[in-house]
Amino acid sequence: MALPHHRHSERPQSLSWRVGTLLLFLLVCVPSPARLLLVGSPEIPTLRAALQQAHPGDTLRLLPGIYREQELTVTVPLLIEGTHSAIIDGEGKGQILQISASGTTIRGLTFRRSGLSFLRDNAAIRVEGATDCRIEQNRLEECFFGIYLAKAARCTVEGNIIAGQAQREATSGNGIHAWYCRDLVVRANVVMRHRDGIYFEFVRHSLVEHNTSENNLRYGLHFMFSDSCRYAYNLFRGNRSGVAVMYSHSILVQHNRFEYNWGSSAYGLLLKDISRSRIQHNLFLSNTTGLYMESATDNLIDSNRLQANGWALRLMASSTGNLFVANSFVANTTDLATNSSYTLNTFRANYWSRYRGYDLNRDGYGDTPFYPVNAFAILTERYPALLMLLRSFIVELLELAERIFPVLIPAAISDPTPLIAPAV
Amino acid sequence: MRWSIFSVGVMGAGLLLIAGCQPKPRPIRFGEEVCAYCQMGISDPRFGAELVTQQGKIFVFDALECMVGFEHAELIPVERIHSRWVIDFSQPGELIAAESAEFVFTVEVHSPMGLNVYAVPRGRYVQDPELPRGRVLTWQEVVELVRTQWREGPPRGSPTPQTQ
Repeated sequence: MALPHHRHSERPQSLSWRVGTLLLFLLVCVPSPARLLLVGSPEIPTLRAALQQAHPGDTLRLLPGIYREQELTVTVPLLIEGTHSAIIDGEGKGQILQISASGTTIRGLTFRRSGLSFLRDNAAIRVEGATDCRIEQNRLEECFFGIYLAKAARCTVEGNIIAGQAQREATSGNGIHAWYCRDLVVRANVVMRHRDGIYFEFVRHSLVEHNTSENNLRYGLHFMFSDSCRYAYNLFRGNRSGVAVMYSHSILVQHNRFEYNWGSSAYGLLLKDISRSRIQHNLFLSNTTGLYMESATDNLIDSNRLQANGWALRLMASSTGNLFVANSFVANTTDLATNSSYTLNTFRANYWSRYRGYDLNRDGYGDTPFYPVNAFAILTERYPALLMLLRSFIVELLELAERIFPVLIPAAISDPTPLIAPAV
Repeated sequence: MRWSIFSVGVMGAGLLLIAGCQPKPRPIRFGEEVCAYCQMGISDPRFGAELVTQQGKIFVFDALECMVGFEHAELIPVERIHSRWVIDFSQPGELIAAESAEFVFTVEVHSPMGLNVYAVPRGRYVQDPELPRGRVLTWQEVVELVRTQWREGPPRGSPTPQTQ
């Protein structure tokens, strides 16, 4: 009887002691509430000074003005924000801001002139080895590299305007550059006048959507060794070499526009060594070559519109097992060119504006197959210089001769069920 | 006598012509040319390579690993190769003979094809502490590196990213 009573008397005492300890512990260990540091005020004139005294979770608000600073480092998670009239000017010397603290947000600032270098990829904002960072609503002007993510994960780059001043590729870096990253979101940015607008290398499970990438010196989008990424609702326009995606599998390219990429090695979209991927609902408009495929295997290419291109599609013989269905080929100079007289790819139910067959049973499909590779396309693939004869009398004659007595046109490449009306 | 001087002159001119026809490299046009192996636009003047055939035909590459890959894929028979040239990392845009170069395998710079090897004239790496640090390789070791890393050509797909 004495034993339980003894226990009862001890319990409240022990509990209050524990609560007291816990309170003491909380007082010591929980950080002071996040502070707001006004950068540019007399007390904190520079961003460097603010970064030195900042505690994790603080907000650094930059007052309007020009901050001529570079080689800054964020080592604790912060929110750094301001208006676009708060300008951090790297003065062309080195990198501007490096983030190595996970959970940092950079919002609404203007960054200007990170330094050109042959030894270092100097960026305006570099995220190195950090996760859960947000880079949003910033303006980047005349930087060597813009936003550079290396060994980063779960970061978001959204709503930034990144304008380079590239005159030559050699002296210009990429707008948004990601290397060894995963789970990124790159959304609604505008990138122009860099070497490559958006560049991914060794990136996984990432999303690139609603961006505009135009007038870049090389590619609007360039990625390699980057699996399981989705590229959707982007506009790629007037980039000197178009868009190139290489050495990756399981990617989705959907609802993008590839437009106005002209030049001897310019492609709306170049696929090299891409497999098990889907290219769907895109528009390829007015490119020298709309879609170029080399060593691309087992992809689904459907519901795309290819219009007013020099070559709508160039399909190299190294590409196999691709299915082309419900695409619309409209008013291209050449619909399909290939370097082989047969193909291990399948064409079904595409619309070809050049098709002249009938649909007498009115099932929506032409009654006779369409042969998309014409004789002239075969010849020019072999002898590119012949292109100067395009639309000449001799080519008309050749096409007429083929119509009567086909020799060159490969019968093995055909769409057996061409659509009578465009699907997209 | 006069005739023989004339003939010597002709022979000399002939020799000069033959010497003039020796296949030789030309500068890579960065920003304009595409790699003969991977099709990428060549844009980074710190990297690149060039292969000259016995007939004087020239193949340009965006990175030296692509030149090795090109040979490894047997896109050219080895007896047709006249010389191999690589870009000097310390003199962007300048080609040097592959046999007079040394190669550095590094994590500090990223080459266009991701194997991260750069070339400098032999002996330069030790002299110049500004150059990104790494492991010095011979040409033969570079060839071995590319062949083991790219057994079937460049990798298809991404390795597991090393994020924390």
